[in-house]
Amino acid sequence: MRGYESRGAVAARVGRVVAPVSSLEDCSLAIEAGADELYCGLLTDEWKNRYGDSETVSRRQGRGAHVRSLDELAAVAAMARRRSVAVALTLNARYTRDQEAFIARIAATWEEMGGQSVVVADPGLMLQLKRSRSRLQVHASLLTNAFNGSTVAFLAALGASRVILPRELALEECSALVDAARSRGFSLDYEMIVLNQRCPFIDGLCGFHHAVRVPKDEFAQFEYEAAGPGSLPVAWSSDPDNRGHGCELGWQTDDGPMKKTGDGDGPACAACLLSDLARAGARYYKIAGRGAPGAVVARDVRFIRMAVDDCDPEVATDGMRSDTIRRRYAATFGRPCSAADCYYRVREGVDGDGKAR
Amino acid sequence: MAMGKRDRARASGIEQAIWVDWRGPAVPNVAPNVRVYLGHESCEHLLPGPQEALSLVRRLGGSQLRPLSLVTPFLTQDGLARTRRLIDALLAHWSEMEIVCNDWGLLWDLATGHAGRLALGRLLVGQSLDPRIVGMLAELGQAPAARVIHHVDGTACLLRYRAASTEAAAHFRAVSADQAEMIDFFAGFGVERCEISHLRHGLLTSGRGWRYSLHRPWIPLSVQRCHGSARGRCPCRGEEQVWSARGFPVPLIHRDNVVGYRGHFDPADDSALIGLGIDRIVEGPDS
Repeated sequence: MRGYESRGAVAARVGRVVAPVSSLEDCSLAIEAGADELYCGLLTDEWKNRYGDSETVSRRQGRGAHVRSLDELAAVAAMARRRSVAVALTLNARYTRDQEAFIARIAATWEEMGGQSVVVADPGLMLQLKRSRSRLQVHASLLTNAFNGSTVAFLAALGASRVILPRELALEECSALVDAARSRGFSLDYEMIVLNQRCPFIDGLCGFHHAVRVPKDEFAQFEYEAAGPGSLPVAWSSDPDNRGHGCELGWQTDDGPMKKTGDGDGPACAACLLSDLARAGARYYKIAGRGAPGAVVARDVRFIRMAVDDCDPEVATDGMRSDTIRRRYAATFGRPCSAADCYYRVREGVDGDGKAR
Repeated sequence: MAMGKRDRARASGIEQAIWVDWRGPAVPNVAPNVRVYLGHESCEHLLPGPQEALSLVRRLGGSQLRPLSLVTPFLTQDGLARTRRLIDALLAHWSEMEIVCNDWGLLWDLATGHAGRLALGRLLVGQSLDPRIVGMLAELGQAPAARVIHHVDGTACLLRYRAASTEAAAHFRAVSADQAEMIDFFAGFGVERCEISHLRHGLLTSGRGWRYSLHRPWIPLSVQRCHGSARGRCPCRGEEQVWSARGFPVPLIHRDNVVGYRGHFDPADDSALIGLGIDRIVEGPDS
């Protein structure tokens, strides 16, 4: 594996790999696998007792998708500092009036711990951070729906230094918005999701409630209350009828059952498009999937790390790249990639639920 | 004869508005004092062109006196340019026109450019929309029986109901835009109106800042991207499609690039609406 310095040189030319972590242990795995930056959420007992464990603190649900305590978060910050890897705290829910002070306190605590950045979707929180003269870098979440350069200008006015672009954009739309923002004097950093989930709905315009999922989500288990011998452990939920996210409910129409997600069979991916994303303006390549086991994240990081390194013109030519990455996708995920797995490619006549029109 | 909801609202001083679908075959007869909403909330390819919009408003008996709101969706860079042309064309004739923005970028451009009266659209305000939330609130939900959950790893647990806490219930009833920071920021640009979708599980507002427009009966829940749009063709269906799923409390309706549901959840007493800051009711085209 390349050393950090060499990786840093590649990152400067091509871009950086941004990986999800949910625990201190995950951090080591992700960094060793080749992550340049990390991001995590925080769901403390205090927040959970007040607001539950659904998507109220970030756009992930369940304790398993978050660092669970301030002590562990401080340890994550310390490790990242030792390893010279930036880590962003994800506070990307839309908050309400009663939560304003609480969420601002979490951000301030993160800053005191040495955290460098936050991923934010709520304009109210951005305004709070700006007014309080926070030194945290603000990364505007993909939930801010930056589909055009004027939205980038708005987010910059609220203090954002990086914008995570919606994964529903087409490549040419990315270029257009980056150019439009640049023409107005806004040269922000851009981050784009390059691996894992995709939904038939636009992330930032989805009103489905995302609770902890039952019964088959291996990544977001409940916290259990211990039971006596012979009794099942008890999980408490305010939403026990929830049988999954809105996009996964097994919808029926007059035409029959719908596909559950907008994905193909494998993880959604933009690994063979990284050069195009870089040309469009992206410099940060994000792996989705907070809450995935550390070993899964490490596997994903290795895959994207190699794809980024392949983008280095000193290593490979354009013509070699796509075939190599597709072979590697099949080897990594156990199935060949297909057009249905591609981010940022417009598929004419096909909409988000995957049905041909 | 008993007063209908619309009559009662009018009598209570709440402004009446009606959505007019510019794609509809006939122009409805709308009273002169009723505000007209036109445009599209979620698809930039389903906005009218400038000439279509001008023609429609004129056929509606438009004049400087006709209250008019143009609703705009989230916008790509191309869509933003087209929408600005539409807005400019309409503002040239109706300078008091309100623009309901569902895109932060358009809102920012118009606010900083001091163009038109502005409102935060339903896609920006941050209201909880999922009809399942009612079941999470103690005084509204009925406690379901405990059930066994089998996990993929072969283990199992007993899932029991516990109502959402008081704080969580307050969160679900609030609107994210009703934060002090956002009210103050947007008031500085003269933006003081929010569009909201429903009162299904109640509404908690701070009582300051925003004035609210309540839409009924259509509640947009989740928006899809039109992947064909970049080819100049929008695959949005003209017809509606009903979606149903086990455990979901209402049928969803897929139309254009949105799934949503219909429902009236208004309090019987319209003075309660005024107390919440709601001073406008917007009837959907299918009410």
